[in-house]
Amino acid sequence: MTDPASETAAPGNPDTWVVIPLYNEATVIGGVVRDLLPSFGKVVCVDDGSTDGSGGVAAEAGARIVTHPINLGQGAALQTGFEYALERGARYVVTFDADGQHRVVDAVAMLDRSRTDDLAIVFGSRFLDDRTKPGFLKKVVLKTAVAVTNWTTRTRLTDAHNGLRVIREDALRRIHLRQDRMAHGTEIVVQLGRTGLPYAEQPVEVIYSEYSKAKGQSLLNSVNILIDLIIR
Amino acid sequence: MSIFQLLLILGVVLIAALAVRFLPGERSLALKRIFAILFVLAAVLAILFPNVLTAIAHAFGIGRGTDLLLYVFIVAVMAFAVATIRAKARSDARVTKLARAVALMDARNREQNERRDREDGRDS
Repeated sequence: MTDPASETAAPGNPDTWVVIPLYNEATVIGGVVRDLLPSFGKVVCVDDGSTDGSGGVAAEAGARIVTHPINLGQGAALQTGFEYALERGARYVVTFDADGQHRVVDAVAMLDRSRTDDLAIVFGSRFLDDRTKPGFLKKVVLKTAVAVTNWTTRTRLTDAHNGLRVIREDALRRIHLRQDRMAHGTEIVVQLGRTGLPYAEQPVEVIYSEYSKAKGQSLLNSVNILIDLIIR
Repeated sequence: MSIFQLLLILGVVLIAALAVRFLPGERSLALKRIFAILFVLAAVLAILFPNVLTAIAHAFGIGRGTDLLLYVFIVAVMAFAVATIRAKARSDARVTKLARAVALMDARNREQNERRDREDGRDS
């Protein structure tokens, strides 16, 4: 434990790695990386066996690349990114989605809050204010996932499957994501609950572009999430 | 003994011999082999004396020996499926670890090479 008051955010946040799980997002990843770089100097994209050259686009935009030789799933990509960042002495990790649905200002605010309030984890939540406008069905799906997560983990969250999170190094070392597929959002919460480290939720805006809407979690996928959670 | 019974017995013995030869695992291998031999004995007896099977079925309140066989078969298939799924999940977890180690090693090598190239560029 270090004294949080002595930690001031240097420009470019050199103690922080942004981890982006990347799978076939070649059309948008370049812009996402370029938007991040002014605020976060260290960005790593975990290319999860993309077949559309996403890794090359991200590297050109200025990100570090780790390439899974085969597709393993988003949870596995996050875990790889965590281990990459820890190897390079990261103090904080920001998880960020590759499809451009998060805002960099939200990530900066969450990191600042983690520093000033001495929080081991800051979750982004799209349901703490009314900026984000998900469709009705999507809202039902996400709320169900949150209810099951809270129920199985005894945490109090409003949005468990938000890809924007800030995780401090001490919490990071205790996370070992085993579910390769989508339920890692819950698995992070489960493992965090066990550490007993301080966490908070921060309101963020999720931008539902036509692009991310077309790619987003379908209803069938949420069935998978629920079953993965129940059968462990 | 009918020709069909003979063929069945030959088939069971052949398959069991192959299974005993190629069973995976080390610790529980002997147990698995004993189990396979017991299975062959039971199968041969059931083929030669189908009435015994029917008698056992009656004892369980089932009409015919073939019905008993069917029920046991269904349970065995489900047990096999579960065992296979679990084995695949374990194998998937190993593959994930291996692929992650490869990915991280690859990144380390690449960054080391880039650093060396930069330093060479400065020297010359």
